[in-house]
Amino acid sequence: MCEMSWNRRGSSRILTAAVAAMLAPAAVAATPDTSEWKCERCPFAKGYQAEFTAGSTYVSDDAVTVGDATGYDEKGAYLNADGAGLFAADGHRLRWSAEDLGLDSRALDIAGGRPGSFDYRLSYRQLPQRRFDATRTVFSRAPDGLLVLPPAWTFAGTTTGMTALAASLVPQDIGGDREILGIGGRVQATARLRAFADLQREEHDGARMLGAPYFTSASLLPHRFDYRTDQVDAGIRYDGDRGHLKFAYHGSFFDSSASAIAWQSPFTTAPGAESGALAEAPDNDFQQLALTGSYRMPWLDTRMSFTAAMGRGTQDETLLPYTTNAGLVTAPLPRPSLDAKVDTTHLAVTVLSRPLPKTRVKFAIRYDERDNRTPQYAWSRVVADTFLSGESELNVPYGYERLRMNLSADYDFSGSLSASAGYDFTDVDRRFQEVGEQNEDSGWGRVRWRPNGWLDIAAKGGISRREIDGYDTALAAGFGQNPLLRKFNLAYRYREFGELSVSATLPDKPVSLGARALYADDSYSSTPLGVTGSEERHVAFDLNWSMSDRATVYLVAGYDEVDTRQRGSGAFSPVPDWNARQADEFYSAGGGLRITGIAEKLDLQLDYSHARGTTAIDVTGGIGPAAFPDLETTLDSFRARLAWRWSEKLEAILQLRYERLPTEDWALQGIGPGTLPAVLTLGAAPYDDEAWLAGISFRYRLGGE
Amino acid sequence: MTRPSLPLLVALACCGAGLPLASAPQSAAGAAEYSPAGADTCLMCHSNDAVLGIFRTRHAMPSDPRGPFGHGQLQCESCHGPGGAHAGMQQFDGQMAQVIRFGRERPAPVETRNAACLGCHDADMGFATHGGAHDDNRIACASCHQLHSPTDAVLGRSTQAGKCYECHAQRRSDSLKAYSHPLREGKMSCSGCHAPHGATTEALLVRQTTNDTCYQCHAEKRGPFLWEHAPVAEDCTSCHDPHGSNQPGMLVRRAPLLCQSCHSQSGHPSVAQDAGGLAGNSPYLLAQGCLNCHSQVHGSNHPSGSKLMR
Repeated sequence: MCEMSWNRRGSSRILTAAVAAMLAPAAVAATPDTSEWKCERCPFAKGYQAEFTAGSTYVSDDAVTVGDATGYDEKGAYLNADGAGLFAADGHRLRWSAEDLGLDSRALDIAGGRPGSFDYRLSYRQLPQRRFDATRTVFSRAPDGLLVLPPAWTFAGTTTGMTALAASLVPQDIGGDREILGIGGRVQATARLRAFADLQREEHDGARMLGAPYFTSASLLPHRFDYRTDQVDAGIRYDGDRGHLKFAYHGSFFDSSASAIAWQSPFTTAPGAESGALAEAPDNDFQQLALTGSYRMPWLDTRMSFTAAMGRGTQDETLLPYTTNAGLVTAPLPRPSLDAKVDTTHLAVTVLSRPLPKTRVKFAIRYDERDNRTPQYAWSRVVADTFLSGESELNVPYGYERLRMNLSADYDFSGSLSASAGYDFTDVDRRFQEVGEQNEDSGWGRVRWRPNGWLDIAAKGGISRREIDGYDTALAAGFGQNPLLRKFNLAYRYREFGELSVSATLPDKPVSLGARALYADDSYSSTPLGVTGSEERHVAFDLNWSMSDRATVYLVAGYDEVDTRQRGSGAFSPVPDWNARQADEFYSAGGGLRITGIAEKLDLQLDYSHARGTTAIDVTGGIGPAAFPDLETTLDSFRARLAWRWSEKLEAILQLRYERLPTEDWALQGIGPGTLPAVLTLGAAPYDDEAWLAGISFRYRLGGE
Repeated sequence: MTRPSLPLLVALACCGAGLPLASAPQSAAGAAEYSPAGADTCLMCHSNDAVLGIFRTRHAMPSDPRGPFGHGQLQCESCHGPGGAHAGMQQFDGQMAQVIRFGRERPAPVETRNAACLGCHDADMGFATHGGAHDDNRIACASCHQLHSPTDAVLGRSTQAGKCYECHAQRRSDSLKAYSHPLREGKMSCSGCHAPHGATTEALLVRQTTNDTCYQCHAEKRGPFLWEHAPVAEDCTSCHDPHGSNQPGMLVRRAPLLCQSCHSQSGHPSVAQDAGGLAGNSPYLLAQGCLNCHSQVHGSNHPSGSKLMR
């Protein structure tokens, strides 16, 4: 949310003072005498004004995709309430809003203060995440957190032999809830100095699916998590005559409330490996100091903005033992906790200059570093809590340095035609990865044509080439990689890209149109194995028509296509033996209507969206069938809202909503908890949701006369 | 007395504020003479609800000495410029004198409009407004903000995205994808991740890097872990498209192909398909695919977790 307060310069200086500074006194319109400007016609907000809405909504069916983020996930009736208000008196101002108070997506925001002196805010909101509501598990949670099996469980090598499976399943929803509490404020200490502070606490708990392997079999656990993240942003800002300076602190503190995710294996195991433990996300924190500023140079209409930020992230969670198997003798851990540290440095400068009236030049340079100072130790590894791997492995503290530079210039040929050109350079140095140094050069050009006040056409195109200083196949071999593999984010890449946008606001017609097309073609021509190329095409269109002061219509549409090609070697040979192509397509279309003041009493709003995504995967060569079935997602969403103003204060609102989200997903289709011999799943099925929501509510307004 | 024209004054005011000259003068603008009674003059004609809405906003606080309606300030003319000629219905070149207009019809040049806003809000705009992507594309403040509305849509969590989609139409399409952040439901706003007023960061992100921005809500993935997954520590967007995807988890490609973009170890990591295909109930393809076993894909803090399986 942007800050909307005023700096030390009074608004009366906006035009007149600036002009006065530039012109001889005789030519300046002096600041008028405003002593007689009474503003008697000005209906300033005084006292309170508020509106309260209460009502009920009926949901026709259980539907997690409808309930995700809204809370309307189960069939039935929901009572709900909203509200908003404003109180203003003696220069103090307080605005509040409440949303969805009856739902798991409730929110309350209060913001107030004395503009120009101080302000404060308090907010609370919840965000429900609903993923699967028909999932089932055999696990239950013991008091110590261990996920245990039923007493009568039959252990087996595959799910086929787990005869107690069907009788042991109990419902287990997958999803979570976020609760976010925020408090903050700003104080204008002096005309030039402002202090600010914002604190936020987020509680995030729920259950998610988490794979827990035992050799070549695995169990999907209902992993219950309970996370807390506290964030602090505080600082001071100084406003000078020619620039601004801000010094800020950012702190983020994460607490996972547990260190292990322990479970009892449902598969027949080696003695001592009847249970296992995964590490929970470790407690960690990140703190950063940042100095940002901007300065207006006294020459060539030049501005500079800069950022210098230094931070440190640490993690020192007590480590779990190598194994839960008490029968295995392992070496002691190199240390009881990792004492991991990452230092970050970010430096950025942007200079913008208009040396000539029609010319604009911009130069930006940015440096980012992630200096991972986590110490390296040699670690043993226990495989599946059954035996020691016999290998000693060093942890790899990945880090990087990245330098980016951009130089661009714009020239305005006339009032209607302008052109831009730019050069971008990126250099990345990575530690412990196959490519040590990588740099990318990009060049682009852009033409913008605005022949009149209603048409705006812009076209942009460019190329970029990413080079590497060599691919360290010896290092890759150390990770067991095929020496022909080139990771797509490290590999040589040549890219062509283009973009065309058109926007028009028809002259003397209340119609606006916009269209945009983007294209990118990536070629990884030096990649024997891995991603070899991809093409992206995106098109979007929108139309808005204000049929009258009271009626507007809109239409929107979009189309995306992303094709990716890659090669692999199933035989781990120096010759690729399979090729794959993933073709992602997505299109969407929608439209809507807004009519206000029908018979002076009714407001109508209609919205409809349809979207469909398809992913086709073809594989040639290798083993197994050539093609996967298409993955499909479809969305139909219809929303209608009719508001009837009963009186100046009372309004009745009818709302109708329809949501449908069927999906086709071969990874989940027909996969019950025991379908896969090697994986005990939770039986998550592809989404096939459909629900109607019908609601009536009443809005009452108070105050504001 | 000969007075300078309004375009000249505005242009010079822009120079004084370090902003460019107005690229085109307003048609038939008036001289720089203020109205006789300030807002009382304006409201004689402009008194509909759309105009009066500003009196329920922070801009209309008489107690704020620096606000447009503070004591001694220029009220409507703080932003709209001197309106004396307009109020007097003076004609220039056959057209009535105009003030600085911000709306859809005959708006003043972008630089002129923005100068009116930045005259007071320059420091608030994120320090890198000048040279930011919106500035590069000459976007007017008023293209996004509705100053006269008591509820500026672009400041509302549930309404902001709709405003951004007016230019970023592809993002509207992304929001309709089956796996996306909850912008369509109005429970998240673009400004949760992006600083529209400018930043020195990539894509105007609110934090210094992509990952730092993601960690605001996903701090459990921050580590540093004992066993890191190299692309995770560098850039979340190597695997995820935060604007929306056809794939669960907003992944950019489907597993196992996504994983096989970077993993070619002998055995199952290199095999595109199981011999039996889907009908063979492959544990490498079905359910969570690779994540059935390598579930700690964001990093593991387990001493035996180097394969991201603990």
